[in-house]
Amino acid sequence: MKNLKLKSARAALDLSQQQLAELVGVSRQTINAIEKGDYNPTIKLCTAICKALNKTLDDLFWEN
Amino acid sequence: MNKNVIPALCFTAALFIVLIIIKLISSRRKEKVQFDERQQLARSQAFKHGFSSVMLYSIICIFFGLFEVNWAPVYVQFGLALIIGFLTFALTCIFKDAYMGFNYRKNIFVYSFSCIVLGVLHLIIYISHLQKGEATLFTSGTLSDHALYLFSAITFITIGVSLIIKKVIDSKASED
Repeated sequence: MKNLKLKSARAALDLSQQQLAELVGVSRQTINAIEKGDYNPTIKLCTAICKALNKTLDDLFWEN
Repeated sequence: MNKNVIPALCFTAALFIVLIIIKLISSRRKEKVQFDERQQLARSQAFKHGFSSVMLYSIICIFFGLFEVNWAPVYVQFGLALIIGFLTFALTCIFKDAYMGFNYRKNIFVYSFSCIVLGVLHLIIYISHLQKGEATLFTSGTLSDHALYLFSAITFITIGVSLIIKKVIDSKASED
């Protein structure tokens, strides 16, 4: 399932996938895979992304 | 020295040359090559695929051995096992974007170019042997030892070209 919350949060900060990838220390393809729902990140990476985007885990990764 | 060992030694030497080139390039960099968690997972899967392919190949070789089908000398069979395992690992890594570290993308063309050059060199050696009449692909119905030149050429060229194809695919991929 696509992670549209992450994509919109990134877009809200006007960050590209590459810029977010550099902020959290992963490859652009990893960010792309998370957004497309092809890769399920570890909690460590989730928290790193949340910190970079100034969001909580619930905001980005909780599905109702 | 046994002439039959020369192709295997050339392949090993070629592998060492590639490793030395990578080492020289990486030694100039202050930061080390890093793989993120997705890449590490992909690499472990690639190792598994490489190992499985070598196992499958070994079973086929054993099967041929049981029926006394002599299709290649033993050292050529070992060389092919190495090539198959390495190529499976490399191709899986390349297309899962885990061959180069995420902080090591700038030299991708240098690396792919070195691979292609090595492959072409092996191909030239193989063709020159063919032209001199010293080698054929098959000798008395079995794969000749010179076939390793051809297979190593195919391996290096495939890796080099795959890296370029992956780079082109990535550069064309939109971020939508």
